[in-house]
Amino acid sequence: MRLYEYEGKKLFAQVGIPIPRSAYFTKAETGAIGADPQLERIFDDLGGRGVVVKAQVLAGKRGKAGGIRFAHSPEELQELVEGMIGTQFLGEEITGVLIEEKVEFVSEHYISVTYDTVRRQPVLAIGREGGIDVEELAREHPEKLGLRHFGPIVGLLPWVARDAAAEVGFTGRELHKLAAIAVKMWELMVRTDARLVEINPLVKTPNGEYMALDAAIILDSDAQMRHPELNFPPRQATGRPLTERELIAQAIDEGDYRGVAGKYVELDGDIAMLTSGGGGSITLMDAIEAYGGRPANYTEYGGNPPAEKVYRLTKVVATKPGLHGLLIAGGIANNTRVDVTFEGIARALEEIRPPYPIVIRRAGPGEEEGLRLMRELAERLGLDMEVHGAELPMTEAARIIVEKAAAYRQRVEG
Amino acid sequence: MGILISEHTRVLVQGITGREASKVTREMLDYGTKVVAGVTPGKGGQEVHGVPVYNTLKEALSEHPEINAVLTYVPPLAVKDAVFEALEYNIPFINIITERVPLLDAAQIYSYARTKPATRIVGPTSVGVINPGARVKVGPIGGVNVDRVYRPGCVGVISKSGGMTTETSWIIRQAGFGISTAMGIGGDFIKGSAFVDLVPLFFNDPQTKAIVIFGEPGGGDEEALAEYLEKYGMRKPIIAFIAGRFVDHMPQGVQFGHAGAIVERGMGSPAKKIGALRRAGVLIAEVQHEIGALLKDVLGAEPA
Repeated sequence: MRLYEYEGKKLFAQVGIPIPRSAYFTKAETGAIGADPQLERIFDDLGGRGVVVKAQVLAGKRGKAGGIRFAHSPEELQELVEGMIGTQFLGEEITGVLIEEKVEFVSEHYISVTYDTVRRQPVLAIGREGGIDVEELAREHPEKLGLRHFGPIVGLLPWVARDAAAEVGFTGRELHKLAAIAVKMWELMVRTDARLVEINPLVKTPNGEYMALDAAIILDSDAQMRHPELNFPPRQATGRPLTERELIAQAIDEGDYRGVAGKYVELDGDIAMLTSGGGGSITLMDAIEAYGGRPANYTEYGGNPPAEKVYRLTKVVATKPGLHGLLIAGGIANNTRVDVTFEGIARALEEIRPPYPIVIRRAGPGEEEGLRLMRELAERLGLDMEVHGAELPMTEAARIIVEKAAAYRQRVEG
Repeated sequence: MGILISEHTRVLVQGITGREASKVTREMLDYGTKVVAGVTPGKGGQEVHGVPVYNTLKEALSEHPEINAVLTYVPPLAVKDAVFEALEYNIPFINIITERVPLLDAAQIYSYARTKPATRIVGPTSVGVINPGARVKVGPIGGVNVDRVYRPGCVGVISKSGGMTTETSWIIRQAGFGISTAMGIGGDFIKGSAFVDLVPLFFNDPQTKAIVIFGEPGGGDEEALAEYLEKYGMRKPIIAFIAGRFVDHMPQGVQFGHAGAIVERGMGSPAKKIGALRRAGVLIAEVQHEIGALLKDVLGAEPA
């Protein structure tokens, strides 16, 4: 889970990483016509000379896109906040802004701790130049980035950080100050089970102190269970608001941990996908595209979900307007019961009675019963349905539905 | 032959009294795997399908010194503890089936395992390992109808996806070939074994004549394999299918597939993985079932 800057900075404060004085201002508190007295107070509290207003969104590069602005008076602050909150920005709705004191600084730097998945170790990166695109820096000037891998059991020791900092040209007291911040970043990684802690830029103030002007933190969702104290509200990561169908699908897994059937991403093609397994589902998406088709959605159900969940998912997947075909497919399941899941699919199809062609390919525990159920359904309702077991390669099923969908499209569109 | 497991493999199941673990223990025994003991702390003295349960690994080892493989089937937050226990006793093969192991725990497991050169870990999020020639399987791989898909042969399979391990092996069987060893290595960010750790084992296995890998978006495992092959040479033909090319034209930040199958900041894009592997001489299947035709090209017909 990616954290908003203001959430990240709260965690920084907890471990003693210096941050500017600030106030978080949310949508709930706006809507007042005329000057909001609270904003005036915030302006005064933050020094009364000028403040920075930062849109709280999860997308990167918001500075370049105009998401960071300066206000020199309470009136200007009011105007900026009203212009930002509630608007769409980089595919997200701005629900809150972070208002910060303006910080004087003499230089900008980069520092991050994350995991290197190839070396399978945490890695510290310190850059002499900050406020920049670090991927670009790593690609074009790797010598400007001090990288040090370290053991996750011993943790990040100060000398390792001093070593990295010295390599990119820091000297004297800078080394100790940077090392102290790096060590606190690792402490935070362990304390919160973060996958990434990044400060870009980390600035040096005129009196030689360092301060985090930004905070990028990604928490490990697999470790959330051991952090009841980190109860951040759930958020989407699609780069756009969830569609109505996606919201309905999301509710399928709520409160029922038996298997997964609530993952649904709406796309703009015309072939509905009711696919199972993470690997199988992405393989089938590729196959549809390789044969010239366009998927209407992405989904993956698995982990042996009950019939009810798959019924609800089918209702979401197969009722999207403008469909020309439906692919119900997956690999040879190791664990998920084909009969149970197909019972849910059959019940939904019985209600929907799709006019478009359907291709099925599935195998695994309970396959005879599951496939028989579908054949009977097709006969009873007169559906245009092909039912295959393991004898048909999974990705061949994708080719067949692409062809059938194209033919159906021609028929209905003339 | 084959790799990692053989007819000499003697398995202990950690968390054997759990629902899934007990079901999989039954499947393993039915297939022919020698499951000799289980551990569930606090439940020592019980039996699961005739397999004795102990409170500690130490107790189990004193009764069954022949144990040389551990199947880890405990809840996600207990995995680190269980694997450290197995590492302490230098168990040569540890297969972690559990999904959703925290990244920090996986990193610490890998770090400690590096101090135990005689130990090999596969997983987390592994579907298991099967060696049909030795008639031994560890983990849920193959499910209840193992013999439909897995018969002995000369092809090694390494897959990031559990479900696609069996599907890939099925394509291989339909093309007329059998399996030396097949395994799911999981798609987690930090894996006990990556492609680059296992491909050399297949290179050294006389039974294996070709290797098929199933890759996914995310991480750098495919790129690391390509680098290894360019440096040390490709001693046996490798065929790869890399799933998830469609992700390249999807909105950034959407997670498709498993935990590791995420494209973050342009890292781990399938197109880049395919490019790197192709440059290293790996044969790429454009659509998954083309694996069959490519295998026939490189192997001809397998001797019966």
